[in-house]
Amino acid sequence: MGAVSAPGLTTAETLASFRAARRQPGKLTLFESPLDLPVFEVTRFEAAHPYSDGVRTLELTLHAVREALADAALDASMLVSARVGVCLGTTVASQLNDLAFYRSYKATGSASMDPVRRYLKGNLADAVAAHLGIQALTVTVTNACSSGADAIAIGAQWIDAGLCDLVLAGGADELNRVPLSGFHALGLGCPFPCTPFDKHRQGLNLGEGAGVLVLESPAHAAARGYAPDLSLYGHGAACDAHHLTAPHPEGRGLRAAVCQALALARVRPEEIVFVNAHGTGTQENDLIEGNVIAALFGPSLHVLSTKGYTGHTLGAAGGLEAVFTGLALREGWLPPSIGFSEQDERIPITPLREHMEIHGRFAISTSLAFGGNNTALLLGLTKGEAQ
Amino acid sequence: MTSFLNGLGIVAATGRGTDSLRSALLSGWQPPVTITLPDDHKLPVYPLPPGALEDKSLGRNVRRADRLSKMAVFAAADALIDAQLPPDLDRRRIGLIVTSAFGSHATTFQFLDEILTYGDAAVSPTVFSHSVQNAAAAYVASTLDLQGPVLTLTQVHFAFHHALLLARQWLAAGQCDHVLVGGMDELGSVMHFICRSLLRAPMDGKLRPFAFAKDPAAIPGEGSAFFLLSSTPRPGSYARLGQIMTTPGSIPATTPGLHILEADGTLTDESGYANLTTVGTQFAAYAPLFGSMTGGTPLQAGAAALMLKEQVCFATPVTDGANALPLCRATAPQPLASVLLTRLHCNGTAGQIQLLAPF
Repeated sequence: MGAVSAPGLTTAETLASFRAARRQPGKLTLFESPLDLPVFEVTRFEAAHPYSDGVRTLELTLHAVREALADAALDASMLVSARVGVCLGTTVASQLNDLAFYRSYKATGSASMDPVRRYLKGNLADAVAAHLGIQALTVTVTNACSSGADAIAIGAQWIDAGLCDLVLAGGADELNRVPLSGFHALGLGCPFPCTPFDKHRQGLNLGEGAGVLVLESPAHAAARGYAPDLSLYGHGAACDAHHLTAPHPEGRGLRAAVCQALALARVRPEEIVFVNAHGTGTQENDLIEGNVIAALFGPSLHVLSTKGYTGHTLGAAGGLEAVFTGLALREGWLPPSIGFSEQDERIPITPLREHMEIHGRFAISTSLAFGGNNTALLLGLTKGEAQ
Repeated sequence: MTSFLNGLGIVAATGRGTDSLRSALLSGWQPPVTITLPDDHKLPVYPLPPGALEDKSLGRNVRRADRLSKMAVFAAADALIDAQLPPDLDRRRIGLIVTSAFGSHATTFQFLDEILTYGDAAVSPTVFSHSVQNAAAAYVASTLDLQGPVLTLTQVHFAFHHALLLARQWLAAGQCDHVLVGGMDELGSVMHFICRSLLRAPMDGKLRPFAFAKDPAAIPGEGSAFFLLSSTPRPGSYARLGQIMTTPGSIPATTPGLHILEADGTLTDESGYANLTTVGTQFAAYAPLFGSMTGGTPLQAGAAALMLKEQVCFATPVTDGANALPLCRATAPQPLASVLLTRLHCNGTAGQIQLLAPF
């Protein structure tokens, strides 16, 4: 697993921030904007890959990929002989959204084609494969805020279908002026550090980062003598088919997605130790999601949202939160759901207010998205797995 | 597991629907439309015909949708209707995968225009929400009440190929009974400028796929095509899905009855297509009907599916440069067991889709 986001450039740094219940939202420095909204920037981050042509999302992705490969005891040379997939979710890295390009076009009727060429050669999954020097099955998922989680589910399906031995899967996004303006226009930007599930929540803060998992077939792992401590046991996806920007009022799609993940994993709801919720801090998301979680698992399940530490990283969120879910299982503790203070009586769950030791094998990470997409990933410790 | 193409919907320069597609294939090459850019430059294009996106039966659902979303909804709805599924269908068992090379660029540029014109704090939330890459999929899903998994893949190369692979997996794994799979790309004022800057237009307005040119000419096109994939056939099935390749290797199939080369001028060098002319008993290229589209495979797959269903090989519309290459030069009924579609990536990789006769 590899992760880079505001709480840390690595999973170790992230865990330290989580353990200290420390978050560092701040003023935007990456680009100019008149909007005075706190953001979760990745600071101290040095671009390390000249290939990436200055595309920050790709830089963040490669950073997380490098950590994920090391965590899986793999190096890039070992990928050459395997059937590899690269499946990544993103939002802004998939768009022709270069403001300088458009400003020039609008003003003069002409503009440099460099941003267009960057787009043509910079497709996230293709670019990662090219950087690693591998021939890979590559897909870039643009399912809005569930993109990273969907990419992980696709990676698992590729392995199940025998198409790949290894898949680098997850999500990445950089802070960008378009979604910052857009979420503000939708009235979803919070003017202070976000407070997911809190009674007085006022919306989301944007963040950036990348979260990547190395998914590997059991046969390939066994052949190289590697025994992973975590496994993706289940996944599910379902669409609300309801509204472009609002979730279904009864959480129809989310409920179906979680049930699919449980069924695929053959895990009972009472075996789930915690849910790492999408928990954006917006009124509707947290209301719907909290009620679905309570209905499926009961109101006393451990629940947290890590967006209080990272902000909403859009296409990266599903990847990052899958990594955080795996880390919590591996470490045996959960950080407090930072930002949550006062119970909303309409939401029957109570997110963690304190650090919590946990025992058990399975956890779920949920992702909800524009367009009514809902995705659930069920991760678990392999220790205790029936042989 | 076998997957069947049981429904087809298409909106392109050829018009809307399979009847329009058939008519266009029978009519052969038609000259492009010439538009005048703001600097008076003339650009040949293959746009959707006027009225192609007017449909009152879907009007309420898509009245706020942008043009790209309408293209997706219309083609997807037509594919679903075409498949003649029972009305009591379990909508939770229908998946959707929408692909595009460039996504919602026109609406994204509209949003950038709002930022520049009105400032970051005064942009339209509606324009923003429509600029998100999965807005088209959201419209398709809500209009057709598709409650299964819904994905959008935005990728310059082979997005449709990967979508078919994934759809087949969803069917094989029992996750879905049916999957709508399609792709679309649109033109627009900024895209016209980009095409004018990056592509070379032919002097006579004609695409020449068999020139295998090192500096090919292109005529930008737009369109949308969707297929309903199912694990069981129906009497009107178009085709079976054969093998799909996007990484180096070759499809280990029998020689295709027809090999469609997707050369359309979007590569800087199309000479690599010449290396493919040893695979197949006859060749065709239908890009001259649709225009040049990096993500144009769904449209050409639509032509292939229609040919397999009707067991008719439609004449390739432009034969210039083919010399002795065995082309499908005249439209005629013929037994057609398989069609292979090949599109080259700028890195030399071939994306290939094999479609087989349905029965």
